Amino acid sequence: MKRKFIALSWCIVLAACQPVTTSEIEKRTALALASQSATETIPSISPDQLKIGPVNAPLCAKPMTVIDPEVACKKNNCSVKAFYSELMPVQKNQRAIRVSACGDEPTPTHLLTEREPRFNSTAILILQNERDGENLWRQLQEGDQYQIEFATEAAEGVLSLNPQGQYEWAELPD
Amino acid sequence: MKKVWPVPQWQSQFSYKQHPRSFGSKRSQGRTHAGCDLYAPLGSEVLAISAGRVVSAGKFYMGTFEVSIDHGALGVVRYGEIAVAPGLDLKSNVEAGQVIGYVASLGRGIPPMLHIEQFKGGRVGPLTDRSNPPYLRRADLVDITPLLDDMVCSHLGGICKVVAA
Repeated sequence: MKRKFIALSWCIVLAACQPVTTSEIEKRTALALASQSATETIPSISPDQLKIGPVNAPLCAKPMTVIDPEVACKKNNCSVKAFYSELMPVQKNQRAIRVSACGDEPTPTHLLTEREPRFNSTAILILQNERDGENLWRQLQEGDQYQIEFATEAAEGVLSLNPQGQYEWAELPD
Repeated sequence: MKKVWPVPQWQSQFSYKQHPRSFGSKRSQGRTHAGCDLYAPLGSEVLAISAGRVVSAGKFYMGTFEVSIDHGALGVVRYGEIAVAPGLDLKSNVEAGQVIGYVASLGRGIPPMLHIEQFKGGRVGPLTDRSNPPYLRRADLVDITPLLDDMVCSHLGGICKVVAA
């Protein structure tokens, strides 16, 4: 029994001391760099963050630009439908709303996008690359739920998060 | 300049001069309606009111699309809440009366319609401008009612009183 334990301990020590190959270091460095630049915040939009969901445990939403779609969608869940359009593959330099737990550890994260392929368009102004400023979204509160109102091409729409964790989008009359 | 009524199947009993379809009708949060609504059956043809060139197209409202056409002296007209006709692209040239789209479904029991706006100041840039209340449109937005008035009598065979304010 004792011999078995010593052998097992040596195995653990040896495994931990395995030299890391150059290619592994390169791979890890590349992944770390890619992760850093997978998305970028958009400083020209104000406010830079709003809340959504239960007032006592809200999630935080931030507008982002997707720099590396592949890495961004590995780090974040890009398959969450929030708006009217069917989900389309996220493109480089496309804008998104990143929704995550509020705080330093931004997990779990949803990357919400909207894009229709024919004209490569979205009616949600904050997701249009040429838009910035202070009139693109604002905080709402309905009872014990935070909601976000987004300006659209025609009018406004309200995004909420239901108790089942699904996003609900409703546009106001044009 | 030849002008064509944009929705041949328009339901004329719903005047574009009456709330909530009229230009200037009140909306939520102090916003004001930037165009006129022409009710028509789902899938009705939408025609270019005169010759012109497509300057923008894309998503607009409740999952529907818009196409904006520079009609020269008439300015830019935005045809909204439609499905854009196949083959119509950015920078396409269109003829007066050409089918540019079809009245689309807004869901939630909302009657289908063409929402139409006019911009006549020769400005450039996006037509929706959230910093410009109460219409939240580009500063060269004009009331499209007179242009519709100009066309509706011939569309109705000279009978114009059904759309009187």
